[in-house]
Formats: sequence, C-alpha cells, structure tokens
Amino acid sequence: MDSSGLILLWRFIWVLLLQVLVFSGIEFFGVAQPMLLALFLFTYPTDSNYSLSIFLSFLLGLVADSFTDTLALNAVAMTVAAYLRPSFLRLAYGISVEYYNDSKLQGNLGQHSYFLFLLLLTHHFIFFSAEVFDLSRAFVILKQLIIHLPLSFLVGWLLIQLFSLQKR
Amino acid sequence: MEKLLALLINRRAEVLTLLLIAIGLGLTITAETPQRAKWLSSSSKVSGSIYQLKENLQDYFNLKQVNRQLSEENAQLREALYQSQFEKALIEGKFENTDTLKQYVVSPAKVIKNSVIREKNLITLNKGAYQGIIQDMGVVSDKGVVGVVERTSDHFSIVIPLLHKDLSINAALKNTRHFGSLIWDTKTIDRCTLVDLPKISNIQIGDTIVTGGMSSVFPAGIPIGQVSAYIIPDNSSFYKAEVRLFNDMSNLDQVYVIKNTLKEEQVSLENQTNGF
Repeated sequence: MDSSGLILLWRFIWVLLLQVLVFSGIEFFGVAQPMLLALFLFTYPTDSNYSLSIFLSFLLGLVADSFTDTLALNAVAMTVAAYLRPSFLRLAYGISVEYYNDSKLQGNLGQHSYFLFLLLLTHHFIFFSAEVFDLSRAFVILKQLIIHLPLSFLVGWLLIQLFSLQKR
Repeated sequence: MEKLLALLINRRAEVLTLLLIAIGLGLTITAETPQRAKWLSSSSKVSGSIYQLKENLQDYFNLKQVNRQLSEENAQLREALYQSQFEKALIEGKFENTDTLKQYVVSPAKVIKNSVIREKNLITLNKGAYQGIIQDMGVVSDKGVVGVVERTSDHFSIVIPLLHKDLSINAALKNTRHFGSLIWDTKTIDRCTLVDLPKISNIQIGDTIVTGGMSSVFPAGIPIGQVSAYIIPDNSSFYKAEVRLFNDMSNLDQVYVIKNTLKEEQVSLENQTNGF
C-alpha cells in the first residue's frame, strides 16, 4: 500500500472511531447527536478514484452502523453523499473534479464551510428519510434535520479548524 | 451484450451507487428480523468488544460514584429483604423457610451502549447467552423498569428499552392494581404513556405506576414512574395517562436481568387453556 492509501486508511479509521466512540456517546440536551461520517468525504483526496470513494463511503457507513445499531442507514446515506460529492465540489469551489490534478483543495473558509454543509445535509437527509421510510411523515424528517444538522455542522467546522484540515 | 458491458463500464459509478444503495436498503428492511440483524448489531463480537473496552476505561474513572450508588442500592435491598423476611415470618409463624420456590433469578449486568434519540432505541448489555441471558427476559435498574431483552450473542445482549415505539408493557396503578399498557409516543425521553386504563380506576396525579405482572417477563410491583397528567379521550371508557419515568433512560449503567424460572410452565399452561 502506498502512502496515499495509508493516509486514506488512517482517515477512514479516524472518522470511524471519532463517530462511534466519541460522538455516539454525546447527546446535547438529550436529543441532538453530532453525525460526522461525512467528514471522510470532506477529507477525501480530490484526485483519487471516484468509484473507490463511493465504495469506501459505503463501507465506512456500514461499519459505523454495526456499532450504532442503525441497521444500514449510514451506509446508504454515505453512498449517496459520495455519489454527489463531485457536484458539491463544483458548487462549492467551481472546479470539475475530473480535471483537478491536485489532492489538496484550495479555497477560502466560506467555500470549505459550504462544501461541508452540502455533504452533511445530504448524509442527514438520506439517513433520516431511510430511517422514517414514510413520506407522509416528512415533518419528522424535517424535525430531525433541524435538531441534528446544525450541531453536526458546528462540530465538524470546529474539528476542521482544530486540525487545520482546510490546509490539506 | 458488448454495448451493455460498455455502458456498465462507462457508468460504473452510477451502477456501483445503485447497487450499494440497494444492498443498504435491503439490509435495513430485512434487518427487522433479529436473526438477520445480528451481524449488523452492536452485540456482534468486534463492535461489542470495542464498546466493552471503552466501558472499562470509563468505569475506572467512575469507580467512586459507582461505589456510592452500589452502597445506596445495597442498603435499600437489605431493607426490603429484612422487611419481607419479617413479614413472611409473621405470616407463617416461624423465622426460617428454606423450601420456598424461587421464581425469579436476578443477574447483574452493565449497560455498555445506550441511545435515546431514535424512535427505536436499543441498549447493549455486557452479558449474553454464556451468562444465561435469553430473549424476553426483563431488565430493571435500581430505580425501575428498563426494558426487555430482544436478542443475545455469546457475551452481549440487546435490550428494547421503554423508549422504543414498538414496546408495550403491562403496567398497573400501585394503589388500586388496575392495569393498562405502557407505550412510548417518541416525544420526550423522560415520559411514557399509559393507555387502556379503566375509568373505574380513579387515577390521580402523583400515583405510582408499577409492573402489572400480567406478562411472564416482569414480576408484579416493579416501579416504572409517576402519573404526571391524565385525560379521558372522548367517548372512551379508558384513561390515557402521562407517566414520568423514575429511570433516567439516558444515564443507565448498572442493571439487573430478571429470569422467570416458571415462564415456560406459565406460557404453556396459558396456551393450552382456551380463551385465556
């Protein structure tokens, strides 16, 4: 395994452990829990294999699900987020990932925040939709989004600042 | 065929995404069956062991507090034991009785994982089939009812707590013994709802709710909570009461799993009897 593969593996384990050992044990006000598996997609190299990113995201979600008793909800949500990631890159940074030869994302704080928000929004929306699995209960999905998304975004943003991931 | 193959290769990201979503949704839907969900559950060997390690570390730093809780609980248990021994001796006119049939066996266990923010919350215990834990055993803490064992692996168990929208427990008013069903409406984590309680029961705010003993899971009289509000829905003969739980379901640690040694006999007899 080359160094980029090792870095990818390290990030996979880092995000997984952070979610299942730290964030799964946190419940703000007894209701809100940070869900930050999508950080893996945020830190995923832009010049790396697209299909691999989808598969690894599915795998990360599935392993996290086995820890958090959430069936395969994270797996589905991460797969969709990984699939949409190139579009989010275009939206946030105005770049086309297919022609981007640098693994380090160049951008300002607003672009990073926007990219993170889009990833988290997709993950959370798919997660809660699959959990509720009933469109007639859309208000429940909306309620869950309002409860969890701001917290996830805030914690994710702080983590990125803390570890200076924006300087990758 | 070649065109199809070329299309699949060109669109491999889309195909892979659809395939993985289908697998994910398939696992989610079929996992409603406990046996199928086993490998996707925190009672599995790997995830269970990691949670056990985490719990061990937390335990080390919480020893002082746990000691205090255990001491308080011991004191209450001794008090109850002495009281019951005394009452029994008074009734029977003697002070020792060794041939009493022991219907309930209680095993201690620890909560190593808990959730309260979902509609179908689950709890993982650090005891499993090797320690004699089986499906449908009752789980209580020192404050009251926690839930019912849903499935077990060799060393871990998954419990469906009171905060699970599909769980219904037979519950009764402590004073009058009138009973109903305790369910969770998923709104708040400290309250459940008691339904189907007959109008004649004359419920009051502050009444204590205990297990009804109509099922074979819990012994009668285990505390559940206190009535905080109640209504009689229009055209109904039954109360609907809000029950504030004695247990803080978001902060569970030491619990006890209750085995009813006469359960099979009871269920078998009930099944044999028509119209029970």
